Amino acid sequence: MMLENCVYDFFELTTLNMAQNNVFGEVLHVEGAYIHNLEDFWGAYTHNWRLDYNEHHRGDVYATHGMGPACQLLDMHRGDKMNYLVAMDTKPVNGPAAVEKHEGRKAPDFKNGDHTLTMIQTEKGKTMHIQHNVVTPRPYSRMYQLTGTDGFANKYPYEGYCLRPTQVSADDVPNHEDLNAHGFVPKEVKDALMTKYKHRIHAELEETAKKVGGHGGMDFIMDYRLIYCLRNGLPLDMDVYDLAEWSCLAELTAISLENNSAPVEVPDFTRGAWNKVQGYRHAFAD
Amino acid sequence: MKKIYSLFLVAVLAIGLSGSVLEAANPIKVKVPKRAKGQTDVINLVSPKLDVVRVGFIGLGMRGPGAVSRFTHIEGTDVVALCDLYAERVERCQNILTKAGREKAAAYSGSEDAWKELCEREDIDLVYIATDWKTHAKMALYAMEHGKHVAIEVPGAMTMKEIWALIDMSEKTRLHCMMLENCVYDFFELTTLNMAQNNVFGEVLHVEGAYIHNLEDFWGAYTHNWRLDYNEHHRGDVYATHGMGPACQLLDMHRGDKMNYLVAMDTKPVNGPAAVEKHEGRKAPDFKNGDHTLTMIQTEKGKTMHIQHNVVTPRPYSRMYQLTGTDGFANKYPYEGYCLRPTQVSADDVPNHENLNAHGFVPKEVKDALMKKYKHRIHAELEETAKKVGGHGGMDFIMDYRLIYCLRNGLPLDMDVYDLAEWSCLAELTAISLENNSAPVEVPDFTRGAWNKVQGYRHAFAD
Repeated sequence: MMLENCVYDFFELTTLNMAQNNVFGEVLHVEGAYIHNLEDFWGAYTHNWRLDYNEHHRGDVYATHGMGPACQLLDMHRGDKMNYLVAMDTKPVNGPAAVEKHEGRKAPDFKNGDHTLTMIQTEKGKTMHIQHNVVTPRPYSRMYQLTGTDGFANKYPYEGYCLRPTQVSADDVPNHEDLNAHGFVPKEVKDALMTKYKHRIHAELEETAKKVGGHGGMDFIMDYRLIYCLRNGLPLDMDVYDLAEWSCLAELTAISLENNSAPVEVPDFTRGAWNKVQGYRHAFAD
Repeated sequence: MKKIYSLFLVAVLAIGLSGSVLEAANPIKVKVPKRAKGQTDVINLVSPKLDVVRVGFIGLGMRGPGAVSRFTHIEGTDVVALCDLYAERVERCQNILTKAGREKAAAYSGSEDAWKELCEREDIDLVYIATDWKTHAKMALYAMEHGKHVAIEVPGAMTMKEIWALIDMSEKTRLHCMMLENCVYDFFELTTLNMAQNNVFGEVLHVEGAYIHNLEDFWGAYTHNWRLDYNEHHRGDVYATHGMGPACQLLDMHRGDKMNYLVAMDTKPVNGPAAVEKHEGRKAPDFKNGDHTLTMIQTEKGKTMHIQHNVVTPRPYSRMYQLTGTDGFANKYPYEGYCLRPTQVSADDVPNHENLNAHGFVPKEVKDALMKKYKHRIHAELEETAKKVGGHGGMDFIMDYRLIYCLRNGLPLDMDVYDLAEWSCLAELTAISLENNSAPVEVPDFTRGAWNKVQGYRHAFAD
């Protein structure tokens, strides 16, 4: 199992629950990213392994924080599969500048583009858009976003939902008449929705998680769920095919980039079993 | 419409990925017509000054009347002729003129060809076209053939054939052919462009744009349902200019950089066909336009563009205006914000200078101070009037004003025919990519060799 923590964050897991309860209709397009300016942090990596890796590898080498929540929304290998992807990147400018600053040498062959973009097509006709940027000054963003036939959710820079009034009961939210399919719902409505659709995992663990900490609590939930499922003999929340799907962008985007953004097939990592299960679910012992 | 293109698609299937040697895939090429002998580019085209610009308007439906109204606030203009299929619409615009103290214009209506007579008049300098998309190019070509400058609503053209026809006509006749893209004049965009041109963001590497506007409540407003109809029959980003315009200006497109190729991807159509069923009471199983369309574009200088299109799902309006630079970042939707290194901003210009950091949005006071310092000259001069006259908050007025100002003063227009081409070409080029599993498609050099003649995009002024 890959230790992807972001799938347990509060907005993500709540929104996933909403999606699984059809609040957004059919989810058509999802986004994700790792946009985190690491210029102040390169020195923290032992023997400079992280900047070193970026220097020698082109492509989206760190896609899982964006891919994880996005793939769960699309029931990846539990009813849908990725078919192919195309990638594009900017030239490297701040990347080599970081090497020069930290190591005092020029890096003319620095491989990783400052900003990398990927688009992925799925079998069921959905699309994913994933970005990567660890070198330019920008606010942190994982670009968590979903576009559905009946609604929309976005996390960065501010959390928000946009829903048709039909998707929400007047019993659940205030200002039900104020909802419209053209703007974000007001704060009270968002809060009411997140209360109503709080995921069982958060209901049970949120308090402890926020005390124990780790990126606001999601790290604790991740470790707790791993142990809970192992102890109870349950399927884990993430399997080896998730690991494959979320990590394969490193090499597959590099191939596309080396070929003028040509489409590259994403293999069926389950080799035939991607449609065996219908819908992604977390396991519980009861 | 399967055309044969010279292409070399790399079918990169489930081959052993490590150690495989692949020939670099060549983007699908589209035809680039040869220039006629003696014909040259229209980079920085200028035409003789005009004391008064005499205008004929074709198309008085959704955008036309507002334009006529705005023109009554612009001095040095004379609305000479009005044309629409429907006489009532012409009458309504006559009232706009008389209410503003102007003379009634010559009226044309009642036939599909009445607009030609308008174009044939000897007393018009500029034909302003605000009809449905399918008629834009043919009307503009006819008008230029008859010696008139043209201003065309967006998108200026829908196919590569139309685009090249407009380019050739403009180059041949040396007449202005400008697309009426208003979003490049909006307040955050023009201010941010000014900041970018003053190196506040360092080198701009990646830009974004989009047209995300849920039209489900508006389809009925289009005469004879032309807009939903167009989406039903065309796949691809058919309406890219509002996103492309501001983004391309940030990248000095054909003023130092050029687009090399693009790849596109779309979702299946779900809400699109549902809209047809709702509005027309019939199923639309062959609905072409994907609910959500995405495009990525690579430029010669190593920059990237990301453009999206979605007119059918419930989402807040967004043009996704965003730039990523080596020293800063700007974003407009859903909330305007900047992120800058402290080095890019002087302590004299902004409060809380020590609070700036390269990891978060600047505080409101800093943003306001920056937007004040970098207010574009055009806004400094026109903002007050623009907000009074209106039109999408003012940007429409500024667009019309600048068009007339440049024509009167014999200056290059803010947007040329190559901008029209670059911002409109996504319609056909994305369709080709989409029909080929998102294969890369070359974006031609619409200037045919002159993309690097000018270094940097600038607005012209008479002083």
